[in-house]
Amino acid sequence: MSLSDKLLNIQEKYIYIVLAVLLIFPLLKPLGLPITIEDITYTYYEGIEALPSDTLILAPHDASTGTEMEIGLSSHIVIKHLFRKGFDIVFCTICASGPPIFFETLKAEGLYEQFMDDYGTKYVYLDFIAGEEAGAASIAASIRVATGGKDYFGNDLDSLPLMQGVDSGGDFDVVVATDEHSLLSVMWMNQVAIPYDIPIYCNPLAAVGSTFWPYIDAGQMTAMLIGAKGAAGYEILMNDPGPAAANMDAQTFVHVYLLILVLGANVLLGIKKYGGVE
Amino acid sequence: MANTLSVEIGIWISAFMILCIYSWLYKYNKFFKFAESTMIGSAAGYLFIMGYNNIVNTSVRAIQIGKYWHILPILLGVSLFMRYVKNYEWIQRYGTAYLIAGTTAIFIRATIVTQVTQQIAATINYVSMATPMDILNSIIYLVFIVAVSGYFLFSERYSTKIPYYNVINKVGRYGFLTALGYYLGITVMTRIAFVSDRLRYLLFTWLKLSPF
Repeated sequence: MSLSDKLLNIQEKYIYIVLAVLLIFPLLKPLGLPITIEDITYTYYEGIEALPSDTLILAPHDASTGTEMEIGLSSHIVIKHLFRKGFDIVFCTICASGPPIFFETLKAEGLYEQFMDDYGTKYVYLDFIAGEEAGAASIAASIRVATGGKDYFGNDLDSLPLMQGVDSGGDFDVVVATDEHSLLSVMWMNQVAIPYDIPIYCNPLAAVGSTFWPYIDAGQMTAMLIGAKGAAGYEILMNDPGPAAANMDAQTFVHVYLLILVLGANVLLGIKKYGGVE
Repeated sequence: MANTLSVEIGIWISAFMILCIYSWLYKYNKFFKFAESTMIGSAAGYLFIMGYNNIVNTSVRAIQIGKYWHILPILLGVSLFMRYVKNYEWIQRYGTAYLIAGTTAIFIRATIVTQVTQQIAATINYVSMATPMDILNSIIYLVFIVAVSGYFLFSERYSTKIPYYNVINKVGRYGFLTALGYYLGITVMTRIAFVSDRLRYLLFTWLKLSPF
């Protein structure tokens, strides 16, 4: 067996071992490689930063266990920013796994006490609304009908000061949506942002960020944080480098490794095909 | 490096499950199967409870305060299960029909505006002649929009009637393969973020290591 054959038939487990080393090393010894902040991340940050403190935000937190590892990076830093700015926020979700992850996020960022102290006056959590796009449409039409008039804790919505005069999508100033996969933010855009002509900021997975560009270009979506890279840039802009920024060294190492694997495999295949190597 | 292991049982269970799942990289084994089944079982149980709570919150409570028409969605939901009852399986058609009709109505109302009219308008507005680079971008943009649309819209049957169909076809293929390449590339970032997050959990939350 020639060298090129040996390399092309290398066992997967060795590729994974090298991958694990390249991931673990920068986590244990961060190198602090420079992080380029994308224009769209600036747009997101500056858009939120420019909002007045009395802005009423609808914040669907559609997180799931399957994607929280990446989405969590952006949702944590964005929620921190929203709390820091002192906005009035109505949280909700059309994703069944949303509620426990939402409260874990608050606890992880040390915001749970603030949330509970100001509950009803600055923050409300509406609970999980079933039906995905139908759920988003029902919230846009009437929050009280969609939720049965109760919040996550069983409080009557009419008894909460923040909910006075707030019932439909048009009562909000901005939508800030965290998205477990590609479609949920689009559903909020379809059902709330576009019909009521209000800005929407989204945090998609990097894997689906590319599918959101047409909405950004069309002005249907205001801005987005694309996956771990967007979150890392946001942490830098917030002067609060955290897990997303720490993750970027590992990302760089692994991307270079994968590039070498792809190029190497193609070169070896080329040599095998055209170089006459048997 | 501080190195006191976590003493929380929840973190140990979580770490054990993560290692079970990643053991699949070596080979399919009983530990992976155990973690996989546990995940599916707990997710199904959780979704059942969330669905039940949702029905109680939106319909049962309403019925309790006299809004008896809220029985209708419950009946439509129950009708879906009638497919398992011999001789009465036709009843499930009502639930299915309502589900499809309602969802279609909600989707179409929004989709025509957001995915069709506004996207077409944005495509036209995107064309700019302000700078030489804008002109180049606009040309590339328009060429690929026409070519990719042409590739999907025109079937082989009519291709002979369209001038330069083969060229359009090939340019269209290169266009969407480039887009798919970008899509695949950025997918790597998501997958690596997943692994990196779990490794951080194992290293820093479970093993309590700290960066040096």
